[in-house]
Amino acid sequence: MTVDRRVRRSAAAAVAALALGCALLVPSVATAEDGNQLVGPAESLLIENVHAAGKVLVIGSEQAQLTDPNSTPAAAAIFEIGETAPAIAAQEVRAYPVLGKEDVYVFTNVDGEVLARRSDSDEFWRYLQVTSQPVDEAAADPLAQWQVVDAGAGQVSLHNLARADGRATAALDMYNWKTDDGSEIQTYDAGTAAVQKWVLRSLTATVDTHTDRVDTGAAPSLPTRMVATYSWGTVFPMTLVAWDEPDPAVWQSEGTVIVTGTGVGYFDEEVPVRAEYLVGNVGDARDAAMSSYAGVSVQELRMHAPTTVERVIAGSETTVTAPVSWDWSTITDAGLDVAGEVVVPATASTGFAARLVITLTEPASVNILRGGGIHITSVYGGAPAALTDGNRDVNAWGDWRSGGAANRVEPNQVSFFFDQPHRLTGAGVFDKGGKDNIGTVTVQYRDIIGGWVEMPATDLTWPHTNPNGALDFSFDSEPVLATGLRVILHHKSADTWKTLSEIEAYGPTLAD
Amino acid sequence: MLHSTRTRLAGALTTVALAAGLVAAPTVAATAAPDATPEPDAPRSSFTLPVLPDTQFYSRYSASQFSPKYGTNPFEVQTDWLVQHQDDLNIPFVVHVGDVVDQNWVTGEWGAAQKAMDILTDGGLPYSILPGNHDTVNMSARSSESNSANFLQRFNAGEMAAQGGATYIDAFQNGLSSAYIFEAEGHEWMSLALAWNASADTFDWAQAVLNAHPGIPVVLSSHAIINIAQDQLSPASWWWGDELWDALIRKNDQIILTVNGHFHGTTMREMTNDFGHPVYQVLTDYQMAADGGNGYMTLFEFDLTNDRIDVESVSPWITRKDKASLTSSDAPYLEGPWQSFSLDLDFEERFGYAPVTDEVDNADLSERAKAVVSEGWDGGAVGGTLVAAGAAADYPAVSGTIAHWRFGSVSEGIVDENTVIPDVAGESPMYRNPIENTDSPEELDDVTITHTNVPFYSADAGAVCFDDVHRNDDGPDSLSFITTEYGAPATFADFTADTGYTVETFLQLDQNWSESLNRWGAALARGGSREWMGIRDNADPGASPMWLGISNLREYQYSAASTTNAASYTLWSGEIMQGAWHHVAIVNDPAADTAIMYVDGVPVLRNASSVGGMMAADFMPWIIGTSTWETEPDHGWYGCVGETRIVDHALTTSQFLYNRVDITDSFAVTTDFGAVYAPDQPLTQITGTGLAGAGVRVSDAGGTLGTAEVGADGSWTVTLSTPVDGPGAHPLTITPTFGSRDAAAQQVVYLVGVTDQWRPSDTELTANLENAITVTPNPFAPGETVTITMPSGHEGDAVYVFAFSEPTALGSATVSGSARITMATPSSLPLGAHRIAVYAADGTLLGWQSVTVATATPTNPGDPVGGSSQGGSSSQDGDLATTGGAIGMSILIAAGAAALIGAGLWLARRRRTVS
Repeated sequence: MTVDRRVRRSAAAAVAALALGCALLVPSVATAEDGNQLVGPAESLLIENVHAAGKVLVIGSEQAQLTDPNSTPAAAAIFEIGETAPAIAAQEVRAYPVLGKEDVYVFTNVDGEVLARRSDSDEFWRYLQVTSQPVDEAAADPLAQWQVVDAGAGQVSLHNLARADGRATAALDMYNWKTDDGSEIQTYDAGTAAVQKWVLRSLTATVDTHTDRVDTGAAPSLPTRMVATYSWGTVFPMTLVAWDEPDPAVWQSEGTVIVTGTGVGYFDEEVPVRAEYLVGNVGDARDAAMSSYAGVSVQELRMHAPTTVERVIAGSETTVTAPVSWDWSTITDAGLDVAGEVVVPATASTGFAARLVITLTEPASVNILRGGGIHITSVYGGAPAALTDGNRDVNAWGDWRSGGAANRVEPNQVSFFFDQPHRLTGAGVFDKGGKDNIGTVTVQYRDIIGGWVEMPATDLTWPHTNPNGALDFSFDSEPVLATGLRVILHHKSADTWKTLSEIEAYGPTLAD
Repeated sequence: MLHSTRTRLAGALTTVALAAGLVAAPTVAATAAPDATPEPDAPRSSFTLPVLPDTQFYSRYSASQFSPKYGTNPFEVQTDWLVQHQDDLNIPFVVHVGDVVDQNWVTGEWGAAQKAMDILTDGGLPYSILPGNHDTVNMSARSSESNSANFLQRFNAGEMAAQGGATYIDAFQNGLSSAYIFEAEGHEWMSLALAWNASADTFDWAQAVLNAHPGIPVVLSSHAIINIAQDQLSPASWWWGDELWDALIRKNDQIILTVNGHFHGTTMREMTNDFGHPVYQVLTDYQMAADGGNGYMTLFEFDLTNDRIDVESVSPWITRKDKASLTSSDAPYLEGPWQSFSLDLDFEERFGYAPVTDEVDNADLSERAKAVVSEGWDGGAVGGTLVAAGAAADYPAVSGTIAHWRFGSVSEGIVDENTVIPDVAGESPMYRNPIENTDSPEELDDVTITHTNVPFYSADAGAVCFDDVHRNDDGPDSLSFITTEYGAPATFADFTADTGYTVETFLQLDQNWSESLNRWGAALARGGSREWMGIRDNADPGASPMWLGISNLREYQYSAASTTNAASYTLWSGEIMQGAWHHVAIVNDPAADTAIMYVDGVPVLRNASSVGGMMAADFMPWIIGTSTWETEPDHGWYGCVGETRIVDHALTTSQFLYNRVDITDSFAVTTDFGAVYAPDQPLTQITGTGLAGAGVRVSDAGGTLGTAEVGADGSWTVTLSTPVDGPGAHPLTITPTFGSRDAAAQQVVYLVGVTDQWRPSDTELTANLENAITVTPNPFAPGETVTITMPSGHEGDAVYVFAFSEPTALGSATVSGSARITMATPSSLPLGAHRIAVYAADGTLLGWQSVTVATATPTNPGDPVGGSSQGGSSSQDGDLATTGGAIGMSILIAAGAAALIGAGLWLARRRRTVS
């Protein structure tokens, strides 16, 4: 028995979503420097610009372009995301949340250099500088604090907390829309331009929880490989995974066992990992149910019978979907003639016990052609829906074409193709309110290997001759399993064309 | 065994050919046998004449596929390589055998071709070129300037005279045919290139050229001269080539070699002209290989020193192409059937062309070419040689098989409404309708089962054939089909972009297939109608959601719709020949996000990516023999369909139906053949391990001693009908079998001594006795008989010989008066370093020596082991439709065995290259 793949997939997806939620609660890999009182623990980020996808803000790089004042390297500049772990780590921005304020941060690089705007009294007040002030000091300096403002679509603007009277809010801005590596980032009047929009990408890995089921009493082999995913797209398979092995006793009883551990991530950092096991044996299947009508054939039931069943895991409400094959050997058509319940067991090769409980109800005859999954064509004259609109008295179809008597469509044929086999017990063909020119009618059904066979009508031979002007013809037949139906029409006279008002085909309602 | 099979076959086919007046005299094997292997390092007088086979797909896909990915294409890489190596390979001239482009009407393809050929001109290499059928407007018309106007725009007589320079002699029809004389090795040689479908006027012109230049050996090229038989090994006749033979070749002793492309594959036919001299006819065409030919071309080394023409198949493209696309069939040079061989030709005797002293200055150019083309190649296996099945179950069964329809167990003859085509994997058999229930004007005998016309590489010895299939001017097509029931289990198969799938079948177009009457006929379809199912396909709204058939351009065409976006996707092969069997597979691999068509295991060029799954409508049947339009039959398959398998995930090529069950991997002999047994220890049983269900046969020189089936536990015991007994060496052959198929055998020796049982050990092989014996030759090949020189004093004694590391008995012998013994070595002896030790009857070590077991001498394809070469036998193309199956079944044994030999040789050579 194998757990159905589809079920496993969806379960894994659900847990993955959960894990993602949890990951937000996982403490940052970076730790706050000792002694900081005014800020919380830092989050490690890459700050990517929207106008320069794949490029990030780097604080205090010596590769930054020279700028004012005094031709010094820009305090912040844009660079391509590194291609190696050390290169990316060097681009890390540490974002310290300022306590007591919402969405306000002090940004530093890994060396602890703080990103601040120059004083409003400075000639270059729009420009940035790096300072070596302690983070706590920065947390008290509005010039060194940055407000994260939602810009929609997962993007943010980064506004400086210091604002002089008469001046606009200063926002981090990729100057002159320049995207070359090393291009300066300064501040400018806050707006909505792409150069002022950023995506904060966490350097913290997310790892899907590993989920599996184990039989009661069987300790699983914990995964030796867990995949760490990073927000800028790096996927890193961690092969150094250490689990906190649980007490072996936990595998002895049914229930859920959660195992945690750590892996070594892309940056050689410790990454929490988690595995969740459902402990319990897979039992027999829940009864599968199916309903149909009395008089159905085994062949029809087999087509519609479920091919999988739900097996319950002991000690839980969880089920797994398992393939099943049914043992029809004891079921005969005669045994399906009366309303009631019929039980079909699973074959021995299925490997577990399962039952298909079929409820048979009294059949009701319906016009199959008015249901769904019916496609109509004719040799000539189109395929109007009015032919199966339930109204026998209004003309719905005609095969007039130019050329008169010498150019009649003779014979003509209207065909119906079914999306699935239907049992038919009769049919009807009507020409009322039309040209009264149907001479003979032959009704054929398409069998289940695609051949066309005349309907086995009772008390009737084909072709059926219309004794009247208008056609009002219906008949009963032996039941047949049909994949289509067609009506072959000959006219009475070439003087005019042929018309029809309705075609019907009767059969019992099918199982859903 | 192999020899006799092949000889019998050759005789039968020669008879057929003689009856048709195609062979002037029976070929005599000895006449084609190359002389003894030339000394490879001795200087020789030789030159290389490269032949470029069909380049149509390089030209066609240059702009759309090759250039964007590589900035070049295999065609340009070929001509550039020839220019780069014209000096070290001594190349005076190049021959192109036509099908320069695929679509004559597409200017860009001509541009790509011209660019590639101009590389030769710019590099100072003259060439001949001629139009193939794809280079004409109407391939059925005899050659005329108007029929090949696009070819002449770029390769007309003026252009040929310009590029050919001094080599250019004359042209006919403004360059459709042309002649050149080039100088090489101090002698003159002619390239005579004749147009596709040239007629008597061209032959007259060619005769005049020959008359004007008597006594010069001629290489005659045209697009189609000889065909290849269904076994993909033997040559077959082509009507135009027969005409050419009678009109020109047989009467002109100058013509020593003909080369052509067109028919997919490689083969050779030796004919005898009116002067009693051999004429070699070589077919080379790789267009069905990966990348539209994989850059393979054929090098003919005319070797005046050794009186032979060495033929090699090399590709400079393999080392250039995307590493990720390499498969087991990729190698810089090929050693398969008719890809590496030699033709005997005494240039001095026939033309007075003795080696000119100053020209005896180059080494083996064939070997050099292989070395040069392999630069930068770090290995990879040449695999995929097809082997005939030994039993119906001799194929890789795979889990997840939705249905597998087979025909071998169905009675031959007419398929009627009572016939059941079994689904051996599932529960969805196929049926035929009573003919009165179908709208097609079909006859009962239009659908038949054959057990003779079957693809030799299918393990199912049967196929279903559909006859008298054609469109009609009015009314339904004439077609027939077999189908599952609506609602059969396989109709619910759900292939998504997550699951992928594999569809496999064997297909053969009828010889009489025609574009006008049979285009877009489908061999396999899944019922339903695209527009009803929501498939986005405005071009073909009523078509079945999946179908595999043949396009108007005679390409295999596969169409299905992706479950991710309901868009249809289509894959096409290259051009398919009527009458040829192919294994066709469609693999949708979710991991690679691709849907790829494989023809005989080679991915085609036009595939799809970013598609997944196969949209389908539950309840709708699987159908063989037709596609459908709004669920009704439409456009039938004219030809035959072999076993067909549907699998719910992506298979690898090694799992395809043409592979055989691996019976060698787990095969081992556990009985100890590393000892000398006492006289009272007869061998009555041999034991070992193997694949459950496979067989084992033990035989000696006198025949089979016993057989066994490998048990469910993977072990086997063969009880010998006659115990092996008596002093001395008893060589035995232990062969893993699967039905009638033999895999590589293990050869062992049961040694019976004169004392109690004793066992040698390699710890006894001490330095003081090293080289006390001498093994000659050393290195030697597996199976070769060696002479061992003994220390004196043992003359007349019985001695026992073992190979190490694991002691393996080689035999026993009596030391001669000159202190020597001779000893046959087992052909299953692994290549590499061994030690051979000789013991006295009481187990005393007399001496040992380190030896190397190395490669064997190459033989021509189809040759008996170690025997002489003969040309491929002739067969009559027209016979194949009726007797091809029988021929195929005879040949396949030879083909399989030859393949094994070829594989072994190749392995040996690779190792040598590595070391």
